Amino acid sequence: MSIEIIFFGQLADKTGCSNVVVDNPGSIDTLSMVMKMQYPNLATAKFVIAVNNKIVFDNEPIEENAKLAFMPPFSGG
Amino acid sequence: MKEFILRYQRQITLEGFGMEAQEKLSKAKVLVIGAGGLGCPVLQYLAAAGIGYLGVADDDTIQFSNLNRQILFGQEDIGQYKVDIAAAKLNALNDRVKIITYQERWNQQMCIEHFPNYDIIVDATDNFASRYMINDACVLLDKPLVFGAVSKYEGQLAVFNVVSNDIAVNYRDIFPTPPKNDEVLNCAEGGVLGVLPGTIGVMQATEVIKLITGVGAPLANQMLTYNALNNQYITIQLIKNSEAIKTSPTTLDIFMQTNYAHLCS
Repeated sequence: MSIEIIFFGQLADKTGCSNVVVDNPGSIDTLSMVMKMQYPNLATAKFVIAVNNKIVFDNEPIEENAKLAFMPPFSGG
Repeated sequence: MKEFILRYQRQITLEGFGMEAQEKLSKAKVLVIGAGGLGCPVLQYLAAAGIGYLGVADDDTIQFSNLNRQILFGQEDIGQYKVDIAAAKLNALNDRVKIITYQERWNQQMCIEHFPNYDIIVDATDNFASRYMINDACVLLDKPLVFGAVSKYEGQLAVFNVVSNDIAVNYRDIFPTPPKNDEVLNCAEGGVLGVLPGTIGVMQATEVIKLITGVGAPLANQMLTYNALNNQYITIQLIKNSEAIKTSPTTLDIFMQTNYAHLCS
C-alpha cells in the first residue's frame, strides 16, 4: 500500500518533484530516513511533516493511503 | 455619521456584520510591521475597512524592484521612505483612520514599548530574525499575531496566540528554531510572483477583521498554505510542540537578551 507526499516550497526544488507516491514505510521516522536517502538534498533542509492535514512531531505510525505534506518555513514578505 | 454609514455601507449591510462590527473596527488598534509586499495590501484593506488606529513600521526606502508587488507605491516615490508614502496614500484613502508611523528597524525594545498599545500585531516582515522576535514578544505580551509569509509561488497564513479548544499555538510550535541561512532562500534570491504577497496579505487583513469583529472563525491553531501555480489550498491542524518551550524566551529579560540576528544567521 502507498502514501502520497507533497513537497512544499523549496523542498520541491530539492527533490525535483512537487509530489511523489511511495510505499508506506509504516512510521514517520522510517519515512524521514527513506526520503533523505532517496533525496539527499532533504538532509540539509528544514521542514515539518503533516499527515492527513495534522502536524506530527513524534514517530507516529502512518495509515495506508495517507496524504503527507513536507512543509518548510517561508520568510519572504 | 452620514459619511460613516455611506463609506461602510457595503459592510454594514452584511448579514452578521452590521453597525456593531463596523464600530468595533473603528475602535481597533492594529500594528503592521513591514510595509512591503505583504504590508501594502494589509494596510490598504485595513484602512479601507475602517480600522481606527493603524501602526505602520518599516525602515526602508522604496526601490524600483519593489513596484511589482508593493502596490501603495509608484514610480515617483522611488527613494522615499515607505512609511511616509504609505501614510500619505492611506490618509488619502481614508482620513478617519489614525496612522502612526515608525520609520525604524523594529527591535526588541520597540516590541515591549509598543505592543501593549495595540490589539493585534501583523507580521508582514521579510526575514526570520524579525519573525521570531515578533512571535516571541507576542507570546510574552499575550498579543494575537496574524502571520503571513511567501516564497516564490507559495504562501503561508496563520493566526497565533489566539485560544481555540483550550490551546494557543505560536510559530515556535511549528518551527522551534530558525533555519540557518543556507537552509532557505529569501525573496531577493528566490524571487516572488508579484500578486502572491497580495493574495496572502489580503488574507491576513481578512483574519484581522475577523478577530476584531468576531465574525467567522479565525485561523487559530492552523496554518493555511496556498500555491498559486495549482490553486492548492491546504489547511494543517497545529498542536503544541514540547520543543517550543525549550527554545522560547520565558521572560521579557531573557527576550531582551536574545540575539535574533545571530540566531537566524
